Amino acid sequence: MSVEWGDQYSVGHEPFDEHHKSMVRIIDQMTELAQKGDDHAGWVARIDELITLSIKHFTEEEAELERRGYAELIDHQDEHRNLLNELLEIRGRYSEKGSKPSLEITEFLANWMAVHVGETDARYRPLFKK
Amino acid sequence: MNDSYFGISINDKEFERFRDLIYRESGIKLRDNKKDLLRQRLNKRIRSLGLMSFSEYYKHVDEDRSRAELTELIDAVSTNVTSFFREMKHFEFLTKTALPQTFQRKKNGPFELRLWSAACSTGEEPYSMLFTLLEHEELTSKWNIKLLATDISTKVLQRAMKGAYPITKMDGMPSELLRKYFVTEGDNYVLKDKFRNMVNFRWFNLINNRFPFKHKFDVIFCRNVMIYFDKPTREELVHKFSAALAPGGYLCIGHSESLANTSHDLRYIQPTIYCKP
Repeated sequence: MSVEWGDQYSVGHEPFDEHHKSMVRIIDQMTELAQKGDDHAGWVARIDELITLSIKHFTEEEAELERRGYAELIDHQDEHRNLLNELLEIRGRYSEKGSKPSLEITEFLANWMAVHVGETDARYRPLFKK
Repeated sequence: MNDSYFGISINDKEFERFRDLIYRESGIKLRDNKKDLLRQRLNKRIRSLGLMSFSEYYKHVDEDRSRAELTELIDAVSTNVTSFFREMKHFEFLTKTALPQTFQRKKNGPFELRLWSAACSTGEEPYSMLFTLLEHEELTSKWNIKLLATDISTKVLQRAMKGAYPITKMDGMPSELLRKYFVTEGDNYVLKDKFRNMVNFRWFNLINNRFPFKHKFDVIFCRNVMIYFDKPTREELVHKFSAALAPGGYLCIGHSESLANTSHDLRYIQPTIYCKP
């Protein structure tokens, strides 16, 4: 499962679109790794990359939404924080070499992106209409 | 500008006490970012009771034997943004997989579809489930639909039962669905009585030790609730859902939630969808 990038995922703010695309790219790479088998180091590196990028993106997005007085910010933040917690928990599971990359994880992440960007982020799109 | 400019302020210790109380009573774990929300939402309530501080209000909640004030408190922190056909995939799954499977499973009766929207908020979710069933009349017309919708907040339940939604917030709704299921009243689209009465709304606290349902469910939606629960509460809840599902029944959870790190006896179907073996 992968997210096909399309205009329906554009939030109307280019830097955020770029963040989203990069996140999808990392998840695609993770999917490939999970299909191939057990490049543990590569898998962990992708998770770390996704965590770093998520923190950067969520922080910037939340700050911008707050600046624009977005009414649904708290619920939006909840989704972000929850994904971060999930990611950190996933990362924890791979701190030792035992576990193999898993498609259940990449499917979860791809689905999260599709729903979060396609539905939750879509709700703030009017704020960026020129 | 200090906090008191906005009314009664809440300090960290007070917030901690409310957080513990709300967790004990509802399983909802408030994160630090909810401090401001709690302060804003309860200010009016505290003042209308003639109280001066959050500590006084805590005492008031604690001493209220009727637990009505506790309900007010949980109402204030549990409201949630929702919309019709949120996470569309679940509704597609309903028609493409869950319904056909259920019909197959129950082909010798009873000819009842039992669905539960376990945190129905203002009603968009159960009504979306209902529309999905009714829009596939060719599948569901011979079946008796039992659709239960519950929530811990009495306020959102009241709104759900009214079934009135601001026209301005219904942009995404297909016009044929609007025509079929709603009437216009002032600034709102209001569910037609006939359809509103097809959903049974009840108050229900998911952290209740026992689920009081006589019959097993074919489908349970519990979306964007577990994100507010900690791991033990989450695990317990999934066990209770599993026990409440008929074998072959489905549990749909929110896109931010995953059972990958939770012990459970359900079978993973696809992200956010699980089946009781």
